[in-house]
Amino acid sequence: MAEARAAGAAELFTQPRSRWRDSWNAVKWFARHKPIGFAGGIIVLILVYLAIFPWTVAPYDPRELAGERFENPSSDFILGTDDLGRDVFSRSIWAARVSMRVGTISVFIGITFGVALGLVAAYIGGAVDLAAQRVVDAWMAFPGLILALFWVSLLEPGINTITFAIAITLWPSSSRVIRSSVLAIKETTYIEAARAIGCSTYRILFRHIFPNIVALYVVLISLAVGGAIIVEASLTFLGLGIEPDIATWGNMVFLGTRSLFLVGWWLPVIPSVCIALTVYGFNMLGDGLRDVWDPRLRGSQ
Amino acid sequence: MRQYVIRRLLLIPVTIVLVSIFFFAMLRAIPGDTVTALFAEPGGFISEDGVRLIREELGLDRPVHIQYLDYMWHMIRGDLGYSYAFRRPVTEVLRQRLPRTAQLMGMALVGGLLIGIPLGVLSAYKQDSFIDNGARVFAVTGLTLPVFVVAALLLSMLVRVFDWMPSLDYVGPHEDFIGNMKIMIWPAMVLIFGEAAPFTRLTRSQMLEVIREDYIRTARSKGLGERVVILRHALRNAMLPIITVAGLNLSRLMAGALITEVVFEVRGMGSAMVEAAELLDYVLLQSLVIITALTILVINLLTDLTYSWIDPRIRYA
Repeated sequence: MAEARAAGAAELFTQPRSRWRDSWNAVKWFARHKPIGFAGGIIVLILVYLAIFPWTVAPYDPRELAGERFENPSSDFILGTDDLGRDVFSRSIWAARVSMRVGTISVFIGITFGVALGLVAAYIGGAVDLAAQRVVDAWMAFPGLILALFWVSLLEPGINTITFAIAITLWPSSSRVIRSSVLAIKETTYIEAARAIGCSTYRILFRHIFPNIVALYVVLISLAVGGAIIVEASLTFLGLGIEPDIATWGNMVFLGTRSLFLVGWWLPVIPSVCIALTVYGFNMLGDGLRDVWDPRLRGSQ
Repeated sequence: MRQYVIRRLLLIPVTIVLVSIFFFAMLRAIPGDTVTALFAEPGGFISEDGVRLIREELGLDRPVHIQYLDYMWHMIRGDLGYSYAFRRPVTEVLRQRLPRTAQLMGMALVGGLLIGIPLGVLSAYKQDSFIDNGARVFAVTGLTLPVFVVAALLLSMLVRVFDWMPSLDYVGPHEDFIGNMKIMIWPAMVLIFGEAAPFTRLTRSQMLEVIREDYIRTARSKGLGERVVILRHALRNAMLPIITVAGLNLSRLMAGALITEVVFEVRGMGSAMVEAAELLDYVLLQSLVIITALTILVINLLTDLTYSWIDPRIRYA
């Protein structure tokens, strides 16, 4: 891809081409030129690990009443215990799993739908595009949080509902971005050529146009995860998201603030720091990828 | 230019109609309605006849499209219906709640600009200094910390350290300005923190770009004072994207105001929306949804028009 090419033509000619070496060079290039984005990437990798294998790091089960109530940090409980005697450190780790699940799945569904709609609407154009754009207008007249709040309050609360609610707030803006990009690609000579030799619409869309917006697609996804995690945590905090007995950062902030300074200032601060780090990691990674792959997007988020 | 404005103005009602149809349909597609939600609370018991009577009174027994047309017809004439959750006409609920949210958002916007722009200018002017690094940390923190975290931490700190409690009695700013500020200043601070961050960051990056332009060198070389160069020549040209961001940020601010209102128990539009959603008060929810959409559409249009006013090079065909 672009950054592999930029890694130096000389290097590519002297060494036998291999997919692994190319990718490795790309990663090295990214680390050297976008150190902040690379740091974000490392945070994201750690989060992915914690989300898949939380039990390898967390010493206790998140629901286990392991100690006394409100214990101070000690060797048994690194970050102390909460109002029910559960280990705060283990709960913070397990909470990453919920946030990552909701964040990544909702963003994947939402952005994919937006990209598909933007692609098709822009290519077909005419009345279809006009109608699609008016629907996007209507949808974009709302803050994402308010739209998501609307959905979760109407449906049964739970992880799947909140994932769905966040997903449907994400598609309009991504379809706008993709649309403008496809409108430009559509006018290029190679698309005209593809049409002239009789390619089907399906083939033009997915073999000729889609590869040109894959980078944009990945950038949109990585930039959206942080926001999605904030919406999830906010709704959970308001009591409209994930049930209070499940360990999530939003729930932990809510429970923690009730006991702040009474027993331990760290109870709400720890999950807050976790949220901030996660959002920061995803945003920095997304910014880095965007600068490399699609500088035109700068300032659009 | 005039044609552009007319086209944009005509799009607003189209969008509003789409929004209203969509939400009207959604609210009725889900199981349960106002009546069941009101009586689902413990202790609330009512016979089936009673439920039917209330539905008839509310007009909920009619076909959906008739209900919609009826609602729109009344709305155009300024009658937004009766809110069952608040047991008052919707217009009365709005008259009470709209000013509070408007005040909160206004304070946040003004405060955010007043802190963000000077901080951004200073940060760019003294690039890589202590002030610059401080401003950058401030901006990143403000952008990554969710509003609910800031609101919750601030509230519990106020309660613990200063024995401050969210007041249940509201006083308007024109009745008792000091009393009003005592209630509104803390929630406004939460929002200002989130608002100032993007303005700081943007002013800084814009100023860094503009300061390197030829006309700034010209201004300096013809002997203008540094203050005039920075404020009149540089900042003025850096302002355009700041207005864009202030406009685009409006929906972020609205979402932030909703959360802050709930945390600090400011009974404004945001908390009304949460209550209406919990009680499935269709009539109120529809009005709130339409007002939200209308506000954002109008602000977006105004933002676009302000560009060409500030920078006459921008013209809309």
